[in-house]
Amino acid sequence: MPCNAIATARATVPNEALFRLLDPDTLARVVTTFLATRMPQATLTPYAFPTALYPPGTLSWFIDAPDLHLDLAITPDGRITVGTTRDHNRPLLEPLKGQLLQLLVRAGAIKLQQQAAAFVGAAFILTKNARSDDGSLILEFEI
Amino acid sequence: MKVRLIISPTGEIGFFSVTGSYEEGRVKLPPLAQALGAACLLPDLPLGEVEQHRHGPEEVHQHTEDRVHDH
Repeated sequence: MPCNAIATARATVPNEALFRLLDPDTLARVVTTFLATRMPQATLTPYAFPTALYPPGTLSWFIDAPDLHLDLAITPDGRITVGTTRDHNRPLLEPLKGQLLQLLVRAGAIKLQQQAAAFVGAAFILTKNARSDDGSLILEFEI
Repeated sequence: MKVRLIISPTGEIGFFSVTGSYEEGRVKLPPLAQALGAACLLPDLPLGEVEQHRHGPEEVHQHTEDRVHDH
């Protein structure tokens, strides 16, 4: 599609703001789906970390599998902590954290796309509502 | 004024006016971004400056794809 833009402005929504768009059920579903794929043998047990360490609304679990014991906490502002008491599990921590962050940011962005489409659809007359190959939402409308 | 809004799967948002003048876009895009931010629970949407859309020093450029990055 040819670009005929005249004026432009951009914003980058911070990760923590994207996280805040996710309700706890959605957030938990992203985590459980990811672990079911990444570690199908693992069991996920909800666990309440001490409130002195984590703010209210933090979701946390123990992740156990043969020869694996991890703890995972996700705070409402998007801080992800993955820990273990077993030295040989330590190499898993950073990759796991990175993958979860990527998935949760994407889930938050999808939520943002849905909310934006609802807002624009209600306030303006949409002339285009499409999606590009990279998953971007494209809306066109008159204001 | 016609507006194109693009939201990437990593949370980048691009606002583009595609009709009207640059001045009109400069005036109308920030309130639109503010309204969108309020509706999406992002009251402090960090919108950058509204700029005239250019792709090179003197160049009018044709896009082939809709992507925030390509703009």
